[in-house]
Amino acid sequence: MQKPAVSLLALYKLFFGVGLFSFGGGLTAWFHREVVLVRGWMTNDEFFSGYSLAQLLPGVNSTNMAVYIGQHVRGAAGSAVALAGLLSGPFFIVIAAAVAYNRLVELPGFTAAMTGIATVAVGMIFRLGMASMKDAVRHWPSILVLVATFVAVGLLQWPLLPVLLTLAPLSIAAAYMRPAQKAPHE
Amino acid sequence: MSDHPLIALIVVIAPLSLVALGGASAIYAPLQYQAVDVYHWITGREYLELFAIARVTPGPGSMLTTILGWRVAGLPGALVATLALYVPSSALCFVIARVWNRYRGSRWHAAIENGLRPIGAGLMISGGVMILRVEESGPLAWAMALAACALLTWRPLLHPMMLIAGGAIVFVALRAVIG
Repeated sequence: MQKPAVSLLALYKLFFGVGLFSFGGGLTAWFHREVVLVRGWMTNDEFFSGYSLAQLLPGVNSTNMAVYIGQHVRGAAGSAVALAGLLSGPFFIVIAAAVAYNRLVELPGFTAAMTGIATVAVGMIFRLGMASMKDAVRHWPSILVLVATFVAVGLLQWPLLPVLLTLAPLSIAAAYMRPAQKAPHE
Repeated sequence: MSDHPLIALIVVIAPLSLVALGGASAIYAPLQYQAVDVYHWITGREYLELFAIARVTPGPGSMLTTILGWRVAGLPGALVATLALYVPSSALCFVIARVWNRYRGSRWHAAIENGLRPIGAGLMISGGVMILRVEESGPLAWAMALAACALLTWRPLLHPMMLIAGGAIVFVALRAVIG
């Protein structure tokens, strides 16, 4: 293995910490920060291709991402540890919150604080989206695919699956043929 | 329909794990149907409450199944419901990720990777837009999201905890002032 060995404990700790504070859905952005920017366990390419896989496969994006990162870093044990780390904190918190729900929502400012957290999480997602765009857009078909995906899913709110099943084959085919386009003489 | 609550939880939830294409939002409607109309575990109103709880707690929103399991059969129910939701899809993802990483470097691997990336980028931005739409908090929420994004562009390694704490405080303060 040419990769630096990462201990399972370090993997568990990372995912436990991210899971514990993953309010509002900025999880993927946080993973990216820790795994690519801070720790260098993965390259940008590896991370974003995993992100696309996590989206295409059934299941929750964040748990799929944890499994993908865990697998990349430490194989089967890594996947299991990352998943367990991600879910074990929220598991107890969500039960505690269910028990205390009626008192929680009556706390002054509780819902506003939660909305504030969600907006910041969206900011994290936007930032990662920008970074991913810069890498993704390498020739004109990919710009087209990116815009089409955003318009269909983000603006028109079409169902995800048919959109993916239409755009993915087209985009992959375009990417496959690209080396042939770069003929030495044009 | 099984009489044993733990088995019933697995029977209801495990298949949803593999049909949850495009993320957790795909499971909410079928799960509601099973839990409310078929098994009568909870009422429709209670289901919405579980949804709200899962949204305001850390972890994936789909952890509402954990609370559902808790309501049905206590701690064992919570554990079984959680595993039933996440293990099947994770096992599939693991196998695919392994195959995926093994063929790194081949031409079709590169094509799939490059082909999927603009879709992933489009979905990421869409996901952010959709969350803001659900929150229905108007221009203030948009301004906050864009401010956080700008802050991260300026300081990429700023710790998410700082952002999260800042977001909560600023939003509570703004709500108190603006109303």
